[in-house]
Amino acid sequence: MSFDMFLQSFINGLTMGMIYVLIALGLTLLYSIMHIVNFAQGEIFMLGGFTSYFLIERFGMNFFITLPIAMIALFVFGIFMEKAFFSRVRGNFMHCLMLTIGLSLVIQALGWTFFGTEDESLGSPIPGVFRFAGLFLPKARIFSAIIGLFLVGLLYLLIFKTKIGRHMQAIEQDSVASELFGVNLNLVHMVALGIGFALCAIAGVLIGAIFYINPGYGFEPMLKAFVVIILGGLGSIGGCVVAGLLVGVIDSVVGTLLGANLAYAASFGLLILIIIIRPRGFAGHA
Amino acid sequence: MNKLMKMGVGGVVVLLVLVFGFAGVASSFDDVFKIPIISPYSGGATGWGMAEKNSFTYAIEEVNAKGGLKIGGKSYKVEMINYDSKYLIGEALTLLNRAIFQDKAKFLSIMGQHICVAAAPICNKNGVFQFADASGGREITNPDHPLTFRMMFNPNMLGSVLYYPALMKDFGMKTVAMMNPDDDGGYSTVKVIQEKTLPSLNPAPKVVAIEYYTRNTKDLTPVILRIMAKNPDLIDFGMSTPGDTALAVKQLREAGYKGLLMNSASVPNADILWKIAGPLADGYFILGSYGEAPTPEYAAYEVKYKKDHNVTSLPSIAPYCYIESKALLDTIQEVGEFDPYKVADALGKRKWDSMLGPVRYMGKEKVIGFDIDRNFCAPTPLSRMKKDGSVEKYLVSSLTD
Repeated sequence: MSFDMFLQSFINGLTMGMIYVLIALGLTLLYSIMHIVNFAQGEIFMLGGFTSYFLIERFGMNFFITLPIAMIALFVFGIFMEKAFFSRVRGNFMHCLMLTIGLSLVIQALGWTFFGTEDESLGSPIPGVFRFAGLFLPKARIFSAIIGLFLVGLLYLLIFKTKIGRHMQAIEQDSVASELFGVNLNLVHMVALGIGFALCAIAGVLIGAIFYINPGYGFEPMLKAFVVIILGGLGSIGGCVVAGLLVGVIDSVVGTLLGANLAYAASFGLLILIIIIRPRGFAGHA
Repeated sequence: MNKLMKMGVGGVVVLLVLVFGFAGVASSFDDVFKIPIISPYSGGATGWGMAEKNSFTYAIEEVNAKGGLKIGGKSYKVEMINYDSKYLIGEALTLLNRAIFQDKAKFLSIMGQHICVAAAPICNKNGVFQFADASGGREITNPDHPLTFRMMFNPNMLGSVLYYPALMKDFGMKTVAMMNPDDDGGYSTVKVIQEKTLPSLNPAPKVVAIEYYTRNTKDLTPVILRIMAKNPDLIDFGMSTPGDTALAVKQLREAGYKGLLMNSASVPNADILWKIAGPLADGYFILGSYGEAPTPEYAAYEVKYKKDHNVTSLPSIAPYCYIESKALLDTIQEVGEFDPYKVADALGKRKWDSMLGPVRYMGKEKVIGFDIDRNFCAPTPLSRMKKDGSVEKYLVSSLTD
């Protein structure tokens, strides 16, 4: 592999990695605050993409306007899901798990039924490629990476610089004690689920802009997101970012060097290694 | 019995008379003949599955409009049972078992080379006529599978046999890279091109790269970088689905690849390519797609299909599926029995004119090498996509020539 090829695949990996980070951040937030492992995250990702698609196709909206709308729509959906379902199984891990699996199946089935079975495009809203020094950088991927970084920064500010963020941290440490100290558990859970869904939704829109969408396109990114949160450490935002970028780079570089099948083996192989050597991941809590 | 009860009983009697009366009036058929169609109606190959379903529907509607199949003194309404295989082997074989052992089907259609490789022995062992809507080679079409009829106009090496020489002559193509899904369909496509196509050509292009990817993978950049490093004149996507092909075309052009692009073993839908790749699909060689209709019947079919299904281009496999499903139903009628073996024998010998021109099932010819006439052959165009999404005919060739 030439250096140019390595650099190209490395940059490609970083841009894809940022997408994995967005989905994984949603997952890790839900786990750390609500102790939910959300198997429906791929479907939320899909709903985000289709929200954008319908706004563009039916109402002729500009793609960039659909981004915040999709986020807000899925944020509200998250609040609804918390009030209607998750609050009822709070504290029971198995029930939560089964609920998310059921949700995943229901949303996917509804997706195939109502959204159709064909691949759809968001219309290549960010066409074109930057070229320099022999490298090519599709503008859609650069845009996605920038949005991803921006949202990671926003999330960091939310968690560490706002009152609701401090409440989230408190609940993560001890939910019972937090409640005793006046933290509104219901409100924090609603906000957490809303944010988790919103982050995932925007990842779905960005992937749709780069590739295409169909009701099943959330499965593979969700799988990668699970690898990321385990590698990074459940509940750790910083770990999630590092792991997401690492998985993206491994997929891309190993795929380019050795082929697609070995790229899969490499990321999952690393996952197995981390589980054995350091089960809490890079930065998870002990 | 009081007055209210009498009225109630009377009402029920009237209702029953109406229901069964209407049923009797509405059903002018004595029985139903069901054909299971096991195809992808979700996932990357949905375009093909829907094209097949829609085409079968037309053929069935025409037969039913004329009173259905008249066999043994009874009239049979032809009905299709659609099963979604998701283009997955496990799913498809489960549905196949259901079709054979539960639905008791004696005639069915199943799509996907990687699926038909497994399905053909099952169908033939159980005496079930099988339309294999698949590319592929001898593993599907051979004398051990007399009931399996390949619907695809050409097996997986003939796109390359027919058109590699033209591309070499007209575009100076000397090197080719093959990019296929990593399943039976992909592996056998590569194998058959290497073992059949290339030895039959003189001169033959040099294969500089062979790459596989997992179906429905979105980020094909790693594979693309590996291929581009070898600088091929032509990238042949072989057995790739329309969705995967469109993504690959888009990502290749974004990466700066300027060479030739085609699928020699599958027929992507032009509208899916346009939807996903847009103007980047400019110049892509699309197998099986006509720029303009070869016959008035084709033109009429194209207009009807586009209008009925709200698409901008006719899926390449749609005419083939219509022609063959119609031929099957006509052959059953001519044979006068639902006997898969007799029907297979008659259909294998059939030669007829269609909206594509003269067509028949071939296979005994040396260049095909299947030793049995079970592969549908028709004049097959190679066209190029243009920047505006339209398709322009480049060349038409056929083994029937």
